[in-house]
Amino acid sequence: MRRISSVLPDLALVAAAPLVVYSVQRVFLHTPNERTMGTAFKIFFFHVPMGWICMLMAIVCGVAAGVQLRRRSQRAAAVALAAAEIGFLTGLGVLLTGPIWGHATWGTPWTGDARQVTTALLWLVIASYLLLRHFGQHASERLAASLAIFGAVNVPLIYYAVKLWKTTHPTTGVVGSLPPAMWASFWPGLGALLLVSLGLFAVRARQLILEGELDEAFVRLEDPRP
Amino acid sequence: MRRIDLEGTITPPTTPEDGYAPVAGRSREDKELLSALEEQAAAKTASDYQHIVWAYGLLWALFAAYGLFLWRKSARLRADMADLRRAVDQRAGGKA
Repeated sequence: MRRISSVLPDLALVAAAPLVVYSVQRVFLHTPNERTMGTAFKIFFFHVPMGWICMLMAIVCGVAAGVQLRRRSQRAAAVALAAAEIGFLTGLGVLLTGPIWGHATWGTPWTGDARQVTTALLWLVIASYLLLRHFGQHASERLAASLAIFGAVNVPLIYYAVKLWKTTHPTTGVVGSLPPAMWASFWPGLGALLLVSLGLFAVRARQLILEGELDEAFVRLEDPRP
Repeated sequence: MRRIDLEGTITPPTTPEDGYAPVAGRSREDKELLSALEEQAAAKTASDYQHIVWAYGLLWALFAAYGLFLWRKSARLRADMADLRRAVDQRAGGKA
């Protein structure tokens, strides 16, 4: 079982490679242009999955941080940090591709609508969490964990922002209402990005756990007591 | 809205008795309008592609940078493991 879980991250990354190529060629060569947004709509096929993965990672980070606070688990702390790093990366992806898409279709990169602001807020929370984990003193780990829980609570707010407030973003049912040709291009893109993200997440979590074990081993080695 | 016959169907001129046949087909006005629209559409598509290339490029550059960061971390961890192994061996040798 341990052997299978140790090769899973590598398997995810290997499986992602052909899926990335397939999804990119599907998006560019076999997906029709959207009637009002034209070619720029093709950014959707990677922008939306990145947003979903960012939210998923914020939830994983929040839950792991909760476990870390309750049980003082080092493994949970490693999972939370790995999830936060992937959340930071995908969040940055969303915040860069969104304004590029907005510039092409709305004519402005930033309208300051509720979904943009709540996403930026989540990204800032994740960034603060990472800064605390990397540069904070020993006790700041608990403060960082509380921040991660706050980030996870922000996720439903991002999802429902388009329903709660008037925004330029489309409603939550867009993916479900896609025509079959676009639907068939959306899932390979989501699958590819999810496999890459989960693979990197697992590799990073494994690294952090190993780092902790190595530190412990060095401390034990230098301990003069028999 | 004004419609332009995009197929450009040209009605065959009828040859009257005196040999005069008026030119029939798309008007000059239509041709100019169509050409202006084509130019606008081409410019929009080119601009869209520029945006797409930036978006996709940045996205995959981010993942590549993170992959590089993980690879460097792995190399450092492997070096730490080797140090630990050496330290353990030295300690075991010293005890023996």
